[in-house]
Amino acid sequence: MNAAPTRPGAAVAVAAAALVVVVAGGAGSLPLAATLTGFLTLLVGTVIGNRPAITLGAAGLLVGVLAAGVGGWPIPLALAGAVLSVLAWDSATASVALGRQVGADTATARVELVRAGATTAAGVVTAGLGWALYRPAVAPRPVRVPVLLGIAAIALVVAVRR
Amino acid sequence: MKRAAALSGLVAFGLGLAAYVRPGLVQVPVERLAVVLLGVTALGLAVFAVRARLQASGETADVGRPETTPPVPEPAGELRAFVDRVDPVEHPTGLSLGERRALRTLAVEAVARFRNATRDAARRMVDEGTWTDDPVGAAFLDADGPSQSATDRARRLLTGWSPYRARADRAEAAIAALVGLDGPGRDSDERRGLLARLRRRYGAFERVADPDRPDAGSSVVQTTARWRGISAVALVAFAVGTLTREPAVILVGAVGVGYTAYARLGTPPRPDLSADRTVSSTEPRPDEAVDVSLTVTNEGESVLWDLRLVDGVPRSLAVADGTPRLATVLRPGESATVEYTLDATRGDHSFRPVRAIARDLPGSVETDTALSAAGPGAVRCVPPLDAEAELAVRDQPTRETGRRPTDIGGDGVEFHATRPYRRGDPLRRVDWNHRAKTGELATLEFREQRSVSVVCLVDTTTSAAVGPATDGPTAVDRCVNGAGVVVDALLDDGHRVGVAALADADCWLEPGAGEQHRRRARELLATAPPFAPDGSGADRIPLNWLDRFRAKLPAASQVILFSPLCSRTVGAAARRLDAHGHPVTVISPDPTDPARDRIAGILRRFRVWDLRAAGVPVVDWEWDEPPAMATARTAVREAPR
Repeated sequence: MNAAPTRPGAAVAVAAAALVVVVAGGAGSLPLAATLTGFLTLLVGTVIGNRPAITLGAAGLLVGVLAAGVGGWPIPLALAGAVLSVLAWDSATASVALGRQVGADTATARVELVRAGATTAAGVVTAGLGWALYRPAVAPRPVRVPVLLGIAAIALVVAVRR
Repeated sequence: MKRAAALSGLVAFGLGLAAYVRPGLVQVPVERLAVVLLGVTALGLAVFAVRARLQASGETADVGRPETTPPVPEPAGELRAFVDRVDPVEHPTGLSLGERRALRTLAVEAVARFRNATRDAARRMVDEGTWTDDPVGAAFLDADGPSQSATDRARRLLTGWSPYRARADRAEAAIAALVGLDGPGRDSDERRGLLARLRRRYGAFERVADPDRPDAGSSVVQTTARWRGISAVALVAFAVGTLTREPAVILVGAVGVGYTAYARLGTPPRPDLSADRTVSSTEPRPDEAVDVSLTVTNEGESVLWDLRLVDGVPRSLAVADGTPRLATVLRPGESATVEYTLDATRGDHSFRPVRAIARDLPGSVETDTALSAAGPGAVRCVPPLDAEAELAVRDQPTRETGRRPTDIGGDGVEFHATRPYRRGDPLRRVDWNHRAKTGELATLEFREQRSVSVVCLVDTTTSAAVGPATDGPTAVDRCVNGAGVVVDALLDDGHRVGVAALADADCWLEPGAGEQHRRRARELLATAPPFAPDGSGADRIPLNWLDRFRAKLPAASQVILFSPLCSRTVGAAARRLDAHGHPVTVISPDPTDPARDRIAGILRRFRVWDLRAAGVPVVDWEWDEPPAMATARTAVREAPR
């Protein structure tokens, strides 16, 4: 049995990671360097089937997105970069695990595309909600709003985390 | 702690919402220090989350490898033991056996045996490099050969190959050629691409052992580690966002929170599945292809978003074509089919429960079920015995009449000599031609045909449970098949044949003849535990085994030993039996594969040579040859006497 990572998922992951470089790389040299490094690490990890490498690659992509956001990059692009990074990470790890369980030669396109679609939808919905709640065009809000919401979120996450 | 966090979270959320709706309402001073503390705490939590992710192993349930039989180990080279015995070094340096030292010893031993030289002459030839035509191999092993440089070591460590290793490989190939081992040579990592090498070293390789299947009907719900660590995204983003007050970053954190919630949204699926298996033949002949088709239907009312199926292939059968695994989305009422082909081998093989692993849409909870499939539950394969060639047996007749020509003249069928007529000789034995020519009476004498008492001894120790392919038969299987052919051939020739297993004193059939005896021998070979396809033999030959065996052996009987000769002790036992007056012939299948381990093949050749030098004939049986061919060749070789 060929236990290599399954191809549909790996393709989605690599494409998403490349898109992150496109979306957030233009923000400056740090975001570009971080996303490129993340992309390459994730690519190598996906091809070889090494999970820690995939996680580190996705982390690099996210660091790049955060660096872009810190530098004042437009919010929709930063959000898109975040969703795509998570999609790349999810798809790559899932394809490695699926390859281990089922083999790269089995037809897994259906399962993997359904999975990728669900992950993307979840991200888009959350990002859309967040963007809608904080649109600077409507009326500028004091920055304590997101900070307080941030405190709320952290606390909730701590409460909900296993 | 959790409740306090939840409470404070809700309070903060309320304040934030109020500040959003009525900007002037809330006058909470957002002090810089508090913000910094918050950010640092978030970062710390994030580190924990990341660590948890990196440590998360086994995201998937371990399904094992049902396509294969338990992997057949390679024949162990026992190189270290050999080198230490043959060429001990006074002050051994370090724990690892020096590659050059090992190859030099092997070369010296090979030259001494196969070029008929003394050890000193052989050592000289190796030092000077005159033992082989291959200049690279000779240069590697001669007196001032190369040593590993640091870059060589580094390359070998990282990628598994280096120029030094390539030269050592050439030397090994030269020794193998000297010993008579042909073969395309090592087909391992360095011939494949760099990608395959790196995948093997660093990739998430599958575990090879096949865990026990849960019983049919069992169902286990467990969480996967799929989304573990996603909260790190939220925490880091919030930390950075609160420290820098950039809304974009904080919103990225919101995305992280969204995913964390999404990961916990799923409910464990309750799969309601039915499985139906069809098998093309439940009583196949050996090596016949058996087609298996498994259809699984979703009888429930909810969609199974991620269903992975692994059919319960019998443990002792290997999949030849197709795959017993599947991953799919199953709507209610939909079915999925798995089709594959098995290679039938001797024995009773029963199917195990089907493993169905269903996950919810986010993929964070899975239900692991074992289904029993409707349809045939087992595949039974009993090979018929058939012999096609005569077997030559060594000189040691008993007194019964059989079909082995001996050198003793007497009553028989085949002409041997004439002798002067004696009173009382039967008239039908008179040589009338001689009388016509010379007028004297002479009696014809024929070669007395006597039957032989033979015990077929099969090596069932663990050192023999090896083979060239991880998913093929073991040498024990080949030996049992060969023994079956030989037993049949000898019984046809009228000899008395018995069966025994090496190192297992209980497995014993006394030499006998007749149809009932043939049936008993066949049953013993097909069903006794030491001969079973996945049976575990003894690790070692017990100390008193030889004496007990000799006690059971009839006085004037021969032994045909079926063994791959992968261990020294088997050869020693053969020699001792031979020396004690029971002529031994060894029929030895060759389980070594030059592509995988040339050294094991070389050491086996040494053992074969040593046995032959001690007067024990050894029939070297190619792995892919059917047994009849090997025995036919023996007959041709030993006929002229």
